[in-house]
Amino acid sequence: MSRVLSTAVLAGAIVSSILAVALVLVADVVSGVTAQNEGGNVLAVQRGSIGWQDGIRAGQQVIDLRAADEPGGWRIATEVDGRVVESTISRHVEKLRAAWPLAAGTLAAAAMATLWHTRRRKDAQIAASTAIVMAAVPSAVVANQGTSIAILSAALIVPGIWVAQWTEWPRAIRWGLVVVATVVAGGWVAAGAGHWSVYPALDEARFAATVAVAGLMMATALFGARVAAGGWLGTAQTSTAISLGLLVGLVLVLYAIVRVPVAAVIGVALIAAIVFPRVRRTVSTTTDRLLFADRRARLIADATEAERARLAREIHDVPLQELSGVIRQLDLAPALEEQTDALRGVAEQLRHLATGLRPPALDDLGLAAALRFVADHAGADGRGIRVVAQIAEQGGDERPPPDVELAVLRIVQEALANAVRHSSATEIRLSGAVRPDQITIEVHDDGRGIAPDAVRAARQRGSMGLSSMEHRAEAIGASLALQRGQPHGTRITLQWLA
Amino acid sequence: MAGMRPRVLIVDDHPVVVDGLVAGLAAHEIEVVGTAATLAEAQALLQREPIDVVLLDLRLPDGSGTSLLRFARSIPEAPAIIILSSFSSPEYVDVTARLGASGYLLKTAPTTEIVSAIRRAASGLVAIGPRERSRAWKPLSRREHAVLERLVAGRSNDEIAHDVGVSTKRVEAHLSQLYERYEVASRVELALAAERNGWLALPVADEEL
Repeated sequence: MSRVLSTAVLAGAIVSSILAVALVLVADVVSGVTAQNEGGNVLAVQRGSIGWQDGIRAGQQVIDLRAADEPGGWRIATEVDGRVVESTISRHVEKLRAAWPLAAGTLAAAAMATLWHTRRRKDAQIAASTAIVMAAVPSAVVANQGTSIAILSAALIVPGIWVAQWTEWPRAIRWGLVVVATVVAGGWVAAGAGHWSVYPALDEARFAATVAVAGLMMATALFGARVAAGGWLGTAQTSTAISLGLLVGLVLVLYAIVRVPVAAVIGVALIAAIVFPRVRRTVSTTTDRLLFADRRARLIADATEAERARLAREIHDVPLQELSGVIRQLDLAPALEEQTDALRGVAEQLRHLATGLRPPALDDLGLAAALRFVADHAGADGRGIRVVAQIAEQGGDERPPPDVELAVLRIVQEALANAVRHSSATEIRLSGAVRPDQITIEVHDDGRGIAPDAVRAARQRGSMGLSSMEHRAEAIGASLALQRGQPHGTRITLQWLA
Repeated sequence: MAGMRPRVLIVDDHPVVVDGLVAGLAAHEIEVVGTAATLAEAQALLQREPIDVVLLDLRLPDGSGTSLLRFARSIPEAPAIIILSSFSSPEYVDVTARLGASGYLLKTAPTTEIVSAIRRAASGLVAIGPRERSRAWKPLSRREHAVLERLVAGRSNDEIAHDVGVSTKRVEAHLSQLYERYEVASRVELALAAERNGWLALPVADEEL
């Protein structure tokens, strides 16, 4: 299901961008204004064209007419009742308008895919990133150089944030990016300023877009650095700032390309977002889900595991050892047998506590023994469910990486807990093999089985158990499959390859 | 070895535990000839000194005690090893017994239990604490050991039956129990695993267990 959706979004993005490129290259887009030379009159203006939006109307007197910087583009000034109306008409800008609906559709598909597609989030993000970039291609193809760079840079912002999260770039590279972004942006602004006086209308818009995109590029680079380092996550302010920043950038870029209508709609949305807290919250939580939810969940899970391991180690290393020493000494005084036994009880409580935090068998004996241990415990809660574990082990002193061992153990614990709680099974079989470079585990219960609807509903609710299993599997690059068992029950298969 | 005083090595990195053990064992006339806080120290001592019994903690600064179990099997005159750990579960007893440990006790076990475990291990017997024994790994019976030994030697069921002095049906029953116990599916797999893991070298159950 997840693969199908990702592939569909990807294919859709590629097809629509090819269509859009074909459309803008092949179609003869009418610039919108037909006029006589200077001193003559405007003959006709197409409704909705740029000339129309700028106020050029048929019958107005042409006082200035010259070529603009793009091939086929021109600039016109007319006079109406002593007032001068100016418009820069560019075939390229007109063509961009033709490409825009397809690009917008592609972007919407990408956003929906990422939001709804919670299972294999990285696949969705890759698909969406491709879609975003592809959506920008047609516009970039027909726009002039400066605008092309602006469009492509804007399109790379969100994929950039995702890539920064996946790859955990080293600090030097992240700060290198900040510097590069600053230099590019600075040079770009300087180049734009040089043109300003020649074609005021277009350059003004281009300048605004340039500044906005440059700012966003720097923000992205900085932000990628902070996010990768684990800071700045989880504050509503961060997500609000980013979403509003992206909207401002979008308004400016759109204004540079298509002028009023689309930009006006987004501008209104932006004001609404600033004025109404509820709208702002929605925008902010959506942005947060799109960009940071996975990363934050993983950081919290990692931090929790590290803390549990630390506490378990502490309990083992200090109080348990001290108690063992004290008990040994007290054994020399037979009169204190009762008190010594009480201390043995305390040691047992500490052992229980440490075991709950992190199964000690994982550290002492390795994954296979720890899996047998959690299987024993899953069956020992009085519900009368038999849990059978058959885990083969190879490799001697060599073991899989510690993070893989821990993730596999937690996934299996969760799967066993789910089976015990929900399946009404009489027997759960845990089977598989652990090798230093390969792990295969299957959890198979003979219960009532899972309904595909129930799984989908649990996933959409963001049911913690299932999604945490999936996130853990994804984090170590393992595959996790949930199937109807044969002849009945549920079968969960986990597979990891180094 | 009966009647002799076993030479004991303690491998544990917590001084409070080691000191307590040395004092406790001295009160029962058991001599601790060495202590080691790391795997490396323990290996060096084992190669240098004649040791009868090792009291081994599983969690050591430079690795898991299980690697000392593997190491000990590779030296001549291998000592008997008793695991003295902070944790206990059937998995602990099971895994360490398969690696050749003679016994398993919690660090908080009464000194008398540790003393009797040392004496048993020194005589080549299994020494699993009463708490662990009830629910965990059971050593092979003498007959199971005989069956497994002949299986590894490549004998057929009929030959094994003749050697051991039981019916072929009885041999088949023993074998299917061994398959289940060691989680293997065939006699070839069982023979290979027994050789690889040295199960035949493990102490055999005696009448006390």
